[in-house]
Amino acid sequence: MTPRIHIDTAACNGYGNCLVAAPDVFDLDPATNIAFTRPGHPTDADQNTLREAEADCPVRAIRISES
Amino acid sequence: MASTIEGFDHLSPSWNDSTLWDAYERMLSAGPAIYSPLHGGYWIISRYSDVKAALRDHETFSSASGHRIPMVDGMSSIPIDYDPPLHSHYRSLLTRALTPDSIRDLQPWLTSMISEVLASFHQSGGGDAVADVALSIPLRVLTKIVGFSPATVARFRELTEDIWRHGTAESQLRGRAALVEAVDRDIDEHRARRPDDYLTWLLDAEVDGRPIDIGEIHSVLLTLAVAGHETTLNSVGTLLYLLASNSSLQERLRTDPGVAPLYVEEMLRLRTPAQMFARRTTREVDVGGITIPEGSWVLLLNAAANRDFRQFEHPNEFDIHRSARGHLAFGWGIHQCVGSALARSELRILLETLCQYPPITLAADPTFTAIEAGTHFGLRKLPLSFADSAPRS
Repeated sequence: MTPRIHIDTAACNGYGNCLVAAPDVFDLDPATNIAFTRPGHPTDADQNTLREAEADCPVRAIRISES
Repeated sequence: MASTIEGFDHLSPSWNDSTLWDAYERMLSAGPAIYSPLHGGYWIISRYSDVKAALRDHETFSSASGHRIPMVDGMSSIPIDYDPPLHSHYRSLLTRALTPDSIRDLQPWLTSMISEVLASFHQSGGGDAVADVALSIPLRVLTKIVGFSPATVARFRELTEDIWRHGTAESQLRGRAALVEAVDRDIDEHRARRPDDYLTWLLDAEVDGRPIDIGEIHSVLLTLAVAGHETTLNSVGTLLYLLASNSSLQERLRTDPGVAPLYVEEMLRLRTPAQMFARRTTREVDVGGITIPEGSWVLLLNAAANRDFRQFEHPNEFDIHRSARGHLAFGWGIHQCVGSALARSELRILLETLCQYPPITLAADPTFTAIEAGTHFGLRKLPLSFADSAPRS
């Protein structure tokens, strides 16, 4: 099952921990400092790092679910 | 092994570059949580995964009692000594001064300011890089970012040193009062003239739906003044020390200044300038099989965690090819350093600009600090000279 990522953009405060945990999947918008997912991600291979990104978000702005 | 840890006292004035890192290495082997009876009793956590887990869990590891052991009443700082929801309101006051956009717009100014500082240092043929370079940079940044007057920031170092010099509650409170007096002049001037800068914005700010009060204004400004210069001071000093004491490291950077960000991250990991922060438990908590009771003071050793072999291979080596990602030098979780993007810019630009000058070398033995204010580690004196006297054309 490919995971799904929900980013609460109102909660995101630009800490960037998701980039550290899953650099292939997440990036921060340079203008707004809000996290977004890179094109083509997530994939099955990203699975391991996604839970880490979810847990590392200080403001709980990331939710991972199964599609 | 454990007996050598029993005497660990983060406030001891005797720490230096040769003893500190050894103590962390022993701490990392000794156990996941160690109890020290000093300073009223506290637990020490040093392993990477445990420190990170504690920083993530701000409900169990509360900041509301303070971030220092021992904490002096009346020395609480915004936002570091608060838990949500107040923490979030306070934090947004600081992020206003340090938005990604404003840091990006600041780059040309940072480049010319740092060039000026280095040009003058080179023209003098070197000198004490702590006083002449490492301190100069953050103080100038504070005038630019906050709106402090040059006369006010010129007093910050001296007044900050006064706060921690004797370590007593009285001296801390006296030092704080002197700092408040210094920033009050800038506050009055801003109230009268209202220049378009952060300090003027802060005077009209709201917290939690009500106007900010003068005590809160003081606390925010003191956080920016103290945290904003001690950390950068030590970061710059440490980077210059690493380059001056290791010619191949310096040569590598000079060959390709594009690797500057890797130098910055690896310095932050290996010789973490803000080394440790305290928390207090709100419930009983298990750390690596050891039970820490509710209401306990806990010292989180970020600097030791950054040298944990369980997380970083060959942790005591400076290796720009490793991934230093995830180091805890800026903390982790909701209290993560607000100024990290600014710090990274300043340090990268410093390294890039340094490459335009002849190589730096140690002119005499450097002097290291102890763990100042129970947190900061760096150099007190760093005598440097240049390999020749003329800048490269």
